Amino acid sequence: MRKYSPHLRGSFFLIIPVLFCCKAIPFNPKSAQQNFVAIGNGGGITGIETRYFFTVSGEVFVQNGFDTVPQKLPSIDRKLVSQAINTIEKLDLINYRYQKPGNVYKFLEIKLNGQENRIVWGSLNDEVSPVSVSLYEILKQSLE
Amino acid sequence: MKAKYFFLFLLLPVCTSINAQWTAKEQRGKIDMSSVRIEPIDLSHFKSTHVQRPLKGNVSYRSLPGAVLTLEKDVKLQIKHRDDQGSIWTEGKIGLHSVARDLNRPNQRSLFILHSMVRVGVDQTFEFREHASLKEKDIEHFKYQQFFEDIPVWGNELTLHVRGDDFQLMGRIQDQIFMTEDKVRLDQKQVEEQTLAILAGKGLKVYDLQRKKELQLYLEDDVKELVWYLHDGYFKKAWHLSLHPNLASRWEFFVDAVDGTILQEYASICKGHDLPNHFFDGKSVGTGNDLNGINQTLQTYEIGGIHTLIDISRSDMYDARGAIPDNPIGTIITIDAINTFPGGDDFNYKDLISNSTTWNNPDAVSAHTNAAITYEFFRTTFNRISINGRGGNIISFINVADEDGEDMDNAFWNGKAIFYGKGNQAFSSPLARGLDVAAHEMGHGIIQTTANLEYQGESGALNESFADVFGVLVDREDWLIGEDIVNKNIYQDALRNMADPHNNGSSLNDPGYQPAHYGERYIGKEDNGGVHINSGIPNRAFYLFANEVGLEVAEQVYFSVLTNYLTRSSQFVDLRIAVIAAARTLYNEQVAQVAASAFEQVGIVGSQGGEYIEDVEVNPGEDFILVTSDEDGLLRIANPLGDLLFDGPLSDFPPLNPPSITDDGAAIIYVAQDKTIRLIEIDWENERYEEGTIQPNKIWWNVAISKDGSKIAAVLDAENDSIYVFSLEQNNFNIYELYNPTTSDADLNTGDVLYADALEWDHTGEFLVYDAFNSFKKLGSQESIEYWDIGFIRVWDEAINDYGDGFITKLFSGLPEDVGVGNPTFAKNSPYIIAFDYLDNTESADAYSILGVNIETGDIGEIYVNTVLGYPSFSRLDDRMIFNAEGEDQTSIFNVIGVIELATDKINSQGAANIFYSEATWGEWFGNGARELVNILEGDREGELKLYPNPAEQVLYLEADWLLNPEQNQIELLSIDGKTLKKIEHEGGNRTLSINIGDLSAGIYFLKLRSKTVHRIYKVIKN
Repeated sequence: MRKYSPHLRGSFFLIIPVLFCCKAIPFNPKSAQQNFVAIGNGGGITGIETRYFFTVSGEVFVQNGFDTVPQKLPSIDRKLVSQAINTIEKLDLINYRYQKPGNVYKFLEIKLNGQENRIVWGSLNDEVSPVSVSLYEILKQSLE
Repeated sequence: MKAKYFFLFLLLPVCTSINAQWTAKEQRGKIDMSSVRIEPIDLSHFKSTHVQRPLKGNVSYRSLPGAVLTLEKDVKLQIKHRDDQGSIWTEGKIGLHSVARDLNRPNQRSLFILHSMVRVGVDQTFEFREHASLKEKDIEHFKYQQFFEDIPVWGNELTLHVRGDDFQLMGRIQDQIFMTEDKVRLDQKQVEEQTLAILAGKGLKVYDLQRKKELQLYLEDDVKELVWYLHDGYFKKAWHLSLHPNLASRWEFFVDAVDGTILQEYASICKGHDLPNHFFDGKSVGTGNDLNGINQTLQTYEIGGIHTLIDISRSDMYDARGAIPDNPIGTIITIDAINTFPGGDDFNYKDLISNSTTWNNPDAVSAHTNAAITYEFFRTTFNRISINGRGGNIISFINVADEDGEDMDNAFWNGKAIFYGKGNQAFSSPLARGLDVAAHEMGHGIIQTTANLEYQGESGALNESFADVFGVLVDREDWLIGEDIVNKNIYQDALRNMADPHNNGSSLNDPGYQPAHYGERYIGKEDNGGVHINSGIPNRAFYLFANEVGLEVAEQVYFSVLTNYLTRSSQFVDLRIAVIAAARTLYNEQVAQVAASAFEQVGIVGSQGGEYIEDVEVNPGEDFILVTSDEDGLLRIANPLGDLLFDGPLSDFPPLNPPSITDDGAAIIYVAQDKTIRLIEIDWENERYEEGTIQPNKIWWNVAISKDGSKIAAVLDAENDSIYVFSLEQNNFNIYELYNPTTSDADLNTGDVLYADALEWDHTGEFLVYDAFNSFKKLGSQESIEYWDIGFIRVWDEAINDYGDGFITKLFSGLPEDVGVGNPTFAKNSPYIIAFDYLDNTESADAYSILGVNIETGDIGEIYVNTVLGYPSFSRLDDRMIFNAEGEDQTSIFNVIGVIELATDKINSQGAANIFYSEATWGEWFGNGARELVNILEGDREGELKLYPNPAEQVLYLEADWLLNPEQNQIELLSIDGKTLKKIEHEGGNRTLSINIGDLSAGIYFLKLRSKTVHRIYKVIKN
């Protein structure tokens, strides 16, 4: 038998506004305070970029085009994101500068403890860090 | 102290003797570097402030004695991810006492991998063999294939990433193998015959790979190997064969090596439509409806009654020396990508064929027709033959899928070919339908082979804009891009509208919207800095110009601008300047004024500066020349009049190769005959010098010191493809393995670098320019080609004040056969000018020249026709060049240092050459004054940083985001001679900083800024 707890009751009433609050605020990569990893691709005659944002809590958002609001996708295992961030930290990808887009390109975008970096590579320049490509592929596969 | 030593300014005779040298590789020694401990640079006997004192301690790369495996207790390994499909992701830290610390040794790495795998439960009977490695900055990457009983386990690979003590292991592995015990009964040849028979039964004949190579796609070579192949839960020994029947497809076979059962075969082909054996080959003509429903006439190629979309009818580019279909040259080809993604492992393609002259594939008809129309436009309008201007193939792929395997909603140029998707949401028709799309994509190819505008920021927006300009020039009906293919529910009229870039929208949220004025431009990092967004601004400028002067005038001006004026880093303002100039040159002042007005209307005026590499200030010191005397092989310094400084030679030993000197002349470095590295430090004030060995390993061949004296680069006296870079500030070194980053346009494969030779640091101290000897085999031949070429390697990163990532670019992406270039040297004051030796032995006799190149414009000039290698050196003012040459009198031929006056472009000469010094070689001209070596830019892109007012009287204001963090930046005010007058302190938290200059006297000063992302010097005028 469980003992009634006034503290627990108070917590229960708090849950509803918190949930409501979360739903009302869409993810905005420009103002996001938390760490995140994003992957994406773009270019071609359209120039349209598709970006997938992975937050540390495992939430995934997709953004198509410019200045559109990211849409929420099903979440993934947050361990995968934290592992990706861990790899980024370990290999210091936040300070790795590679900006060589082609007419079509892929990219890995990182926001880590206030620092940001965007690693971009095209279809023919394969000198980009293999870890960047691996992270791109692992995170892309997690969406399938 | 001074003595007349050399003859002066004698007429340099034309020497007829040919001194064959440099045509083949040098005789380098052999060094087993695994047994060499590289000693630290020792500057303890030198006092110069120009050469930084080293920190105490040894270099970080050294071999540990012994090989006791203590991984269990010294390596922390954590499994981060593991699944039952074999996927694994681990990370860990290597302990202080572990032999795994020495992971730069392959044997130790193998032990480390094996032991790590055992720890995660992999049976120790497995092997992991390294087959690829890459080093970038301080991170090393290695790839491993899992083996069992000397046979690779198909699809199971690991990657190891090491950074300092941290490592990560990722990949897919098998813990154990459940296998069949039977012995291999079939050999590779038997299986190959079996599979070829299978293909023959399908009516397919296997051709060689010439054509695939020529296309330069992503696919790999034929593979024939024995593997462990997972089949029905058991691993079987299987022969893996990857075969290519012509261009139509690639077939993968996994054949049981015991009983010949086909375990797996797959390919994407159109059955019954494959090319038969040739019994009639030749040009043919077909017809078919395109995606617009228009019946088009198609130039095709017939092979035995089957027609394929290979157009050999363009006489200006078709080269009959090619072979159809395997190795076409100068053709227009259209290929089916069979709904695969070009960047994926499963990318596949096949010939588009028809068994009659009637074509029922509208996508193919459109792509083939539009490629031909665009080719003819460029040929007839600009006399440009094909994309590269020299008749290369024009290749289009249709039915291209996106990364997810869906119909691609896009079209693109990948540097080699055009790829069309079928359309998905944004497009209601396959993109091959749009003639403007074809012209846009082929335009990217032409831009790539002309101005090669960098695909970022404003230069990237110009790249996109020129592609659109070609789109409306070929599809001349309107100013719209993609109007025939867009989904009108998304785009009202078109993908873009050059006349009205807003395109019915009001913001970037609206599909197809672009800014129409410079004031509306996008400032952000997406789309590579808005290359598809901000192209609307120059697009509208083109419309305004062309609408006024007519397309026939505008196209000639713009093509001239692209091919003659713009360079890789050109910005909007450069386009404006170039269009006005070209309009004036090709037509008249009235047309130029229309151009000026068009650019003014879109807000592109003359105030935004391009980020070209700019000249640096001239060294304020006196002129001196460092030479190697023929008399004793030792180094001496003289002035241009031939007066020697110091009594006797500076060096105790003859240099093995040309010496290197800092920009201020304070330090000379060279490899002595005993192969150690020696330093001569000069105290100009007291007219004294010191000399001594600073690196005692007897292994070196050549060495160069950075212009600021903070770093040294050296190469070994061995067939070794590495450059060693020593930081004197950090007292450590980094090794950069050289590679060839690109494939040339010629039929040459990417070759192997055997070793580097000459080295010189650029002005920033971030890049080395070097020459390297390469060797590789020609495609389809066992013939080896050996040649010298010149590359740039980024060995230092000023932004992080640490070693660079080793990124390499080549001065020339391709060289003709039997031509070599080497001994590069920068102009003293123009970092974008390089002179080098050029050797042409295409004729029976070798021909030497000294050439100059402007790397911003791509212009090349001839400075001197020589008889020997010149080892050129620019004078302090860049108005003359000295070089090795041969003199002769009635009895002998002797070494001289020649001199020739340079034209103002610094890549051509004027007047005749003279003898500067005789009986001396390797002249290096320098000044003995101090100067700032980084570029001086007078402005920066608005939005990143503002400095105002300038000129100022009392207070100067600096605005930048990075000022918010005071720990990440340094700000100094310098006098015109480079002395620090003020270090500006600030507390951060504010993006505007006020700098008091009221106490300075009127004149010119420099504001030096250094943060993680900015390293700039601005000129400031105090009134």
